Amino acid sequence: MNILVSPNPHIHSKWSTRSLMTDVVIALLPAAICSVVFYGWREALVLAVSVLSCVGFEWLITRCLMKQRSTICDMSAVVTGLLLGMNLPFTTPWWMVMIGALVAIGIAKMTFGGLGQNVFNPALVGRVFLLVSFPAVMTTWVGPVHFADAFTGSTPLSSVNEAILNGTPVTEITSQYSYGSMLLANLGGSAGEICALALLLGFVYLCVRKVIKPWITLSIFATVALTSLIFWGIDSARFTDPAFNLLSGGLILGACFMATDYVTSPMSTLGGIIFGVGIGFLTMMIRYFGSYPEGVSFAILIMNAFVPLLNRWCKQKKFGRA
Amino acid sequence: MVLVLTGVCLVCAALLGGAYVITKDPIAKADKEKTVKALSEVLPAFDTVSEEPLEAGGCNYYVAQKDGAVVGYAIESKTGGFGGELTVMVGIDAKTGFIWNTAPLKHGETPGLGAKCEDANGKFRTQWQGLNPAEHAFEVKKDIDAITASTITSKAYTKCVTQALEAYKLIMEEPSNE
Amino acid sequence: MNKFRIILDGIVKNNPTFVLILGMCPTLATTTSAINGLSMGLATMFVLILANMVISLIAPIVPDKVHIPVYIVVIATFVTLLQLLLKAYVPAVNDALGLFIPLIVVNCIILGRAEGFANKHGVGESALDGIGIGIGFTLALTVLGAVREILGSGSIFNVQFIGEQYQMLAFVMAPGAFICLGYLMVLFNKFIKKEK
Repeated sequence: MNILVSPNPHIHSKWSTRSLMTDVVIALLPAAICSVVFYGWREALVLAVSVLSCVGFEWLITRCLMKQRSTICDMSAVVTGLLLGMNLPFTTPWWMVMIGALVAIGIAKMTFGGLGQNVFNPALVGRVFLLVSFPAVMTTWVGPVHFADAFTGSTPLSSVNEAILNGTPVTEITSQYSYGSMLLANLGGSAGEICALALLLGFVYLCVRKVIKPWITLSIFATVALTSLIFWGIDSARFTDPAFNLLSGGLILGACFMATDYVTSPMSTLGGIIFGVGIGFLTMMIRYFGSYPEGVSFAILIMNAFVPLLNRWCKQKKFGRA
Repeated sequence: MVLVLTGVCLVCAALLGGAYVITKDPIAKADKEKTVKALSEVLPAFDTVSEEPLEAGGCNYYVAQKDGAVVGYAIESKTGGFGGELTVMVGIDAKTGFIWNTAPLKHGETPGLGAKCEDANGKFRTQWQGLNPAEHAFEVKKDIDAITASTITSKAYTKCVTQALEAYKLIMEEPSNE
Repeated sequence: MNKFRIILDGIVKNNPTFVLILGMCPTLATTTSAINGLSMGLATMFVLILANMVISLIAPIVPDKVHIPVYIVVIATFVTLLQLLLKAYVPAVNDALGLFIPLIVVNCIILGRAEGFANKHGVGESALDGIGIGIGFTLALTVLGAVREILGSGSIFNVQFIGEQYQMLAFVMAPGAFICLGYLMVLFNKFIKKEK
């Protein structure tokens, strides 16, 4: 028999999965709207295809393969679809988005037994599958349509990665991006990465609604800041500075919405902090020393695999015993 | 116990010894064919080629001749690619000193990205044909077009070619090759 | 035991890949295309049949204490023989499979069949078992290779039919091997259960 390992809200709260997931969708909306404003109708198409196909595949699999009542009403497929869509470049063709949705829902979620059983974050599995399968499309970023002159075809992180390989000082690259513009509108990158402020807004909303606890996210930010501070302090020509690392790439999206996924993150606070530190450290190692410019998704997936161990190790104390 | 083990080992050793003797010549022939095939891809038509690779500047090279005259040099050069060592064979036309063609011999590049350097008719491979080393600096994204989304592979490949050209200069300076 | 039954068991009931889950290393590593899977399967079958026969012959005279070393020596001999032959007459196959040819020595299917079947049965039956298991392994590897080749390289037995931009590279790489193998196992076992 399978024992469902799930965090607190499932046990003792009045909240249902559905209301929690609806809150996540609301929290993601500002960033989604921002990305549509910046990138235009093609971004809207990617998001719509992603959400619709995730829900569609979940319905098909539960009804036709598992012969059960479908679980699409719990909104979790909508969240997966939205996150997947926000992790892809807006130039992704519609059929590619559908393959990503099939991998996310079919392989990463339903094969393991559906919501609550999956080891890895479905949206990230879908995204990494596409990244590995179609690297040319997935790593060719086009700048937002509203910045015609910023039409660089590369993200701040990929330019830095190239500079490191070329041996040119990274400060030449980082000086091109002001922190203010990165906070408001990242230059190039996937949709969900574009507006850090909108993402943080959603994160604050989730924390205020007590949908998520902030520990995981905060420990990721702290670890990324600390790790990059140390390396930047050692050699500022080779390594990028903490603020750049916090604001660039998919770090905010990943830390706020993907790492905090209920099913695939540890249950206890201590476990969550260790989980966050692991993600932050791995992200920085991949960014500094890896061949991929961005490592947040890989870092989260790797730490996902450790969650059962962390849950065992940091077991919550039973009531009545200190 | 000892007897059985020894006996089995002896029989096996004898069997393998026999097989080795029988297959020795075909294997040598197959290896030779492989080298010739790799060489003919990067060199103008030739009829004889140096039996053993020669060495210059840390690179192995072969000298190809036709009707007794040297027609080209094929220089093997390696460097670290995206996924392990990348070995490139660079063929140089002895008449002009221009690059005739290049071919990757061994690589561990990502399929679909860096591995496109294998494609003999691809844009990346064909751009090398007939280049004059004296006129080019061989810098990726300047005079050499990179494979899409595989800058590291393209740079490693270019580095291999540059090394081979350095070795070619050394070969030309050696009087023994005259 | 019925002779036909031995072969059929090797393909279905004792299928080394989908049921016994043996020899996973070559299964995952060499099945990047249908032709590679097929050649790996045939290479293993060659060693399996010969090793099974020789071991069933010498089993009565081999003392228990040294039976594993003796079996390994026999298997290694056939593997080396195979590699020499491949190098000499089909170098392309040898290049494609590379390290995985010598690694057949440690393929647990072969030692497993030697220990589990050949040393208790006669030469004929052992040969049939080698053929059955060999066919089962070859079929599994070819199917796995074909699925990965279709999805990952858009071709089947090197005949291209899907455009380059639609090829899912993940399937030619290691993760694709695990994913495909998992789903094929599910399908195979579902199919077998229905048979019963």
